[in-house]
Amino acid sequence: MNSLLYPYYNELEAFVQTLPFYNRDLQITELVTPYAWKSPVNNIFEASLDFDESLKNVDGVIIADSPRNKFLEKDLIKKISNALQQRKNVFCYTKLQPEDKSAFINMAKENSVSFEYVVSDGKNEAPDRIFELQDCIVIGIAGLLQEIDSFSSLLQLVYRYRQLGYRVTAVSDNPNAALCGFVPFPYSLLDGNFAFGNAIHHLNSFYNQLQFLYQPDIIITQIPGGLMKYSNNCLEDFGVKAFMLSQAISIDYFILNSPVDYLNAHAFQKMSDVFAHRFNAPINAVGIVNKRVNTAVSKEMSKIQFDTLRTESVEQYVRMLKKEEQSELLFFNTMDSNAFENLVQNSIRKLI
Amino acid sequence: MGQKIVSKEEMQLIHLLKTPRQYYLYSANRNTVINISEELYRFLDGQTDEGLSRNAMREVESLRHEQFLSDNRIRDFRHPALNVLKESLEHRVSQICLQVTQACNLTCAYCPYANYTEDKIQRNHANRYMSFETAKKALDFYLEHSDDRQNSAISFYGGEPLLAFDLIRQVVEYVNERFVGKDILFSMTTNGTMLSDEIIEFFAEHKFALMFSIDGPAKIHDINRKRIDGTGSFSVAFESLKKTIARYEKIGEINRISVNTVMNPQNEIDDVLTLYEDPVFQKGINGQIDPADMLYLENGLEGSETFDQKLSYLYFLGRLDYLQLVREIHMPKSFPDRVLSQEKQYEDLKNGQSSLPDVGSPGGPCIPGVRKLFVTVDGDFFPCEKVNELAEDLKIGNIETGFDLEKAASILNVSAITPEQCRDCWAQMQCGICARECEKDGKISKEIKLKNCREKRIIAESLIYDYILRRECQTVYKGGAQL
Ligand code: SF4
Ligand code: SF4
Repeated sequence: MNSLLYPYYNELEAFVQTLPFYNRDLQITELVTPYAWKSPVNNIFEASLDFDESLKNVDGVIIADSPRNKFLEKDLIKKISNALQQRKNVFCYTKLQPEDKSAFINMAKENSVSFEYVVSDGKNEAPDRIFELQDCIVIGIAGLLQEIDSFSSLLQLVYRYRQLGYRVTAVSDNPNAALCGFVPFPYSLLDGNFAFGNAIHHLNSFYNQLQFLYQPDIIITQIPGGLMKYSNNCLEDFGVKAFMLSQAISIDYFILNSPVDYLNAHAFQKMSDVFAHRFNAPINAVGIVNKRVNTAVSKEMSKIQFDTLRTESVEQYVRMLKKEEQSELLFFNTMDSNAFENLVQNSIRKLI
Repeated sequence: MGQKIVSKEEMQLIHLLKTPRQYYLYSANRNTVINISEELYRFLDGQTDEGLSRNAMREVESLRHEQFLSDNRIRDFRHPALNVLKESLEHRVSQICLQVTQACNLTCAYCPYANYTEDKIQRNHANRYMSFETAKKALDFYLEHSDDRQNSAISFYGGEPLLAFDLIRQVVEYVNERFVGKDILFSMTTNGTMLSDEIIEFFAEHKFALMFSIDGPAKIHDINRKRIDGTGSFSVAFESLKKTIARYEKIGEINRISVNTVMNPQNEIDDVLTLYEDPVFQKGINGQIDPADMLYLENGLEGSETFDQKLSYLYFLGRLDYLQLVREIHMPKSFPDRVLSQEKQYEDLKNGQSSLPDVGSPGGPCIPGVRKLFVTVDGDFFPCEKVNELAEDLKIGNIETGFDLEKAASILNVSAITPEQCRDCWAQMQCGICARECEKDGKISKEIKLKNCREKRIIAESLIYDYILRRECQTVYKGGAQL
């Protein structure tokens, strides 16, 4: 079904690129972005600003999730009603108020179209507690700081392994991942209802159940939250969720996504040694994301603020990292889809 | 004598401080303080001609070893944010402040715009309004230049902005349509004399953060904030404040209302503060109390004898209250909150630094245009509403031509005009000098800048003393203060 994706933003680039491999029923043919979200850098995809005009060309509308959707509340409601009234099917991956949700279900019925609400309620049953380490390979992908994207890397990797014939189960903390058939990360096991130790047991059982259920060769999981505190002034995440997950499963290949200009290759190597102790997983590869911490503004606002960079700046930094000697790490640009071929080959050599 | 054991260059970068029980050395090179012995303190302070004991000599060596004593200097005076200035101005302007009018219905005693100086020091109130076309262009410019930010903050400034309420309404409508997808915050400071029920309703609907200027109880407020015919404005302003609070209470947004009290030094502080005994202040609205800014007043305001002393005492009580050293101090929250606002600087002092950077600049101002973009009725850009709008050197662009990067850079890099003085100044890491204070007749001037140094060093010293007090509360006075 030809579909429109709204709201489109930079971080969904890999999602749009790879969706055809994950979901053959939906073809994204129109991308629409809110006027105020125009990206500071050029996208691969040109997005339209006119929702109504683009709506005319499609049969379905995908409402994607984004951390900024809370500022679009009224707008999304207007756009979904509009789409349903124009007899378009709507697939909603972002959370709505219960009353809006039921209104849309009725509206869809009246217009003989479908309204699919695909939002996990986040309530995971605590699985049985048998602590066993999984025997399939586990690849972990984490963002060094909280807002560093790792979902795009997950998308790029999963289908490449599948193309090579591996059975892959993907676990993601991104709500849009449901569209690709990925398993949602079981946040509720970490939400404080369980004692620390129990939570680790439950997480372990969750991953074991995935293994039992899907019999995968590889589990690729996003590691939620950032891995460290940034500074006393900007606390961000403390890496607690990552620590708990690392105690629950054993990570065989660890990909770290980092902003530009963060460290030199030697320092990444040192960080890898630290992670080997802390998460029982040294770093294997470092993906560089097109963000740079704006230290001056972050300091002024007591919150990490990123500048978005063009791909050339990322390339330049990656080249510099690669040039440094004595590093066993694989550095790559997360915006370069070819780099993932390399990464997959590198991981296969190491793991299989 | 001290100079032989400690060189002149080393002495220049330290500052000595003393409390009833301890002696300290602040080192600009390390940007932190360290305890020293009484003997060394007296020696460095030039209070004694005697040589140093062996222990004190060892202390000097260890201070030198740890770089608390150092002849290190910043080589290149360049503000570190200069590297990101262009990018930040292109993508991360955080707030826009629209001067919707230059007119006001009051003539306040200390208002720079109402002290008619024939446009010599600062512009005067004038019957001029921003057009919607200009506002739209400014807002579009802001949106284009803040694409790396999730939030948009739009504030309205005057004169009295409510004289241009129709424009404010148009702007809000435009923003709500154009800025969909941003976390939008509207804010405004008002003298409170022009709020109808309809206007209050409008503000509540759009969740405006509102700051009311109320300078004290009626007898004080009415001396300072007069209408052109000489009548006071307290009763109507305070009534509007109460009505607005009642409306905001219903929507659970009371914390969006605050009161700004400007203290005229000619008034009795105790009288001013009785305002805060009114029951409305028990409802959790914020208050900000500051002495009047006299930078642009031709003749200043001669203060009462006790004003400064009382103010310092209040700040002192604020510190005690913040540190919870003395219970049951009754005072407006603004005083302890003042300490809270310095948290970041305390943190920096606590962490210190390994040494002065090669390239750097004294503490410094905001990043002009990034923290705030102030747009005048004519569409000219300034780094904030507090600067002299007549000063060409402070004008950082215009809605038609965009940012003037060169001027923004020279404002940011204001330390570069006096490298010789700043390089050897002990307060360089704490100095918050801003281009606004360095301007005269429209130009940023070296001489005017250096006139501020004494005050900047006093501010730096008092901040370091505050930090020491906090430290001593956790160490020396851990069991409670015996004052
Ligand atoms: S007064 Fe100076 S430091 Fe403060 S906001 Fe204005 S320009 Fe920036
Ligand atoms: S006080 Fe004066 S000399 Fe010292 S750093 Fe500030 S501007 Fe420079």
